[in-house]
Amino acid sequence: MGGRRFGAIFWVALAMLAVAGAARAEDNIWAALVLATNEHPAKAAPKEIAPYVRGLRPVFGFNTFYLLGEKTQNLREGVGAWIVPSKVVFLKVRCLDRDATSYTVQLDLFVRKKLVVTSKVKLARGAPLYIRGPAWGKGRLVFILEVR
Amino acid sequence: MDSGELANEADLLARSRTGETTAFDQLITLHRDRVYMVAYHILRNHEEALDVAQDTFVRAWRSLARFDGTSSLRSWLTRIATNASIDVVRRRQSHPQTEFDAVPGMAIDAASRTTPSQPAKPSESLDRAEIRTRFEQALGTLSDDHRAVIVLKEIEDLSYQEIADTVGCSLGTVMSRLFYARKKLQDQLRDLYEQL
Amino acid sequence: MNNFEERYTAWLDGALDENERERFEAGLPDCEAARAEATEWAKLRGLLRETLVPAPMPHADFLNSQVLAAIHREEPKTESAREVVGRGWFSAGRLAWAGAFLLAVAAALSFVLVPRNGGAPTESQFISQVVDARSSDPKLGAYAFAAPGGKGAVLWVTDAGYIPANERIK
Repeated sequence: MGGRRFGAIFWVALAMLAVAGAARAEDNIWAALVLATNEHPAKAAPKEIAPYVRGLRPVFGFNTFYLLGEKTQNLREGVGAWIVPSKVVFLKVRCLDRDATSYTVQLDLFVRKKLVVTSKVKLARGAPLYIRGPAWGKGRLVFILEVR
Repeated sequence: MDSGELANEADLLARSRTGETTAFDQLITLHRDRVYMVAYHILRNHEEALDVAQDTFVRAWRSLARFDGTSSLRSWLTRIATNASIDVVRRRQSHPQTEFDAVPGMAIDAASRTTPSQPAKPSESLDRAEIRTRFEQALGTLSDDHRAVIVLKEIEDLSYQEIADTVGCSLGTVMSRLFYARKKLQDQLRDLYEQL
Repeated sequence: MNNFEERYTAWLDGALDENERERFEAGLPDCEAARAEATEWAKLRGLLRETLVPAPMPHADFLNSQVLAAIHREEPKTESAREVVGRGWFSAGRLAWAGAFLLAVAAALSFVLVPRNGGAPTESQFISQVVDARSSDPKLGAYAFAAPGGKGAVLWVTDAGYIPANERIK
């Protein structure tokens, strides 16, 4: 009797693992708020955003990038996350759906409490989304979102 | 609210109680305008009213388990908003402000408490926006205590006892304040309703 | 009710019973004038209620976001740690034993089977896409295009605003 139960538990464990593996090792969305500026000479980007410079530079036309804040959030469906919440600029990310290849999220960008844009986006792993935010001084605020 | 809306609200409330924030998000949307309005009419300050509205819903979330349904959700939220607004008023009284941040376009002169409002010319027709402005100005001439009871009685339609419980005074005090607040509003707005 | 003001208020609101109302009106120096004033007040009250209906509050969606952010900041992080109460065959002891065994097996197999990700994103053949984007402000525009490299996407918001350099973001 004990052996049969042991066996049942073992096979249940294996089945659970198969399901967990399929549901993916990473369940997180990483988001960062970046200040993009031009400086002479250009400064190296912090290691957290260094992989994204090759995307940021040609799109936004700046040569120096500072990391103002970042957040990693486990986004289950329906639960929202707030990136760098402040009264000045504020990005709300809410997971609507997910499938085998991507998350569908709703993004609400607020600037000075005003909803500037709302967007539905499909985020695939390793394929970042860059959001052009408001200008700040001589630079520009940019949000980066990525599934990891 | 009609029965369909009430049923929807009941469902959202039940789901909120289980911790479902998306349901609570919808409850906020249903009630935020009224909560803000109550706070704004008592406080006469847009930023403070927004802070009170936010505080009201956070307090409501914390107390959902204690809401027993003997009053409507709207009344319950109104009470929380009123209490939060009165807290702000009391803080103001112990730390008087020198500036008063009004909604743009609606300048409120602190001296207007003793200065009669300008009566409109009888020949002018009054549109809705003008009437609203006159009411807002007249409410602004009342003291905080008088304005609170007027808002709760005339706009929120609470009973004397509910008002007394909300503002924390006796029944007699509520009725006396209503008497004087109504008299003052009538004096301020006599020309308005005489044209109607 | 102790004084005239309280009785007058109740009379105006129709909160006196018939006997009380008759006694009150009998004591008024000019009942007709008082009734006229009551009619005026009823008119004014009607106008007040009609006029001061809730107007849509400014920055309404921001309020929702701020409230929910405050709620989430306060909540204890136990949502993913719900205990499953065992029933039937699974007594507490057996459940603990079974759980420990499952954990050991899962840890061993995941180490072998599940790929480890470092801080850098892993490659994927799938792309990110902006499905739709809209703004309620006609002066603002939002459009999307592919990021360099082909997998990422850019949500380009025009005229998202300007923040002076000396203003703090956080």
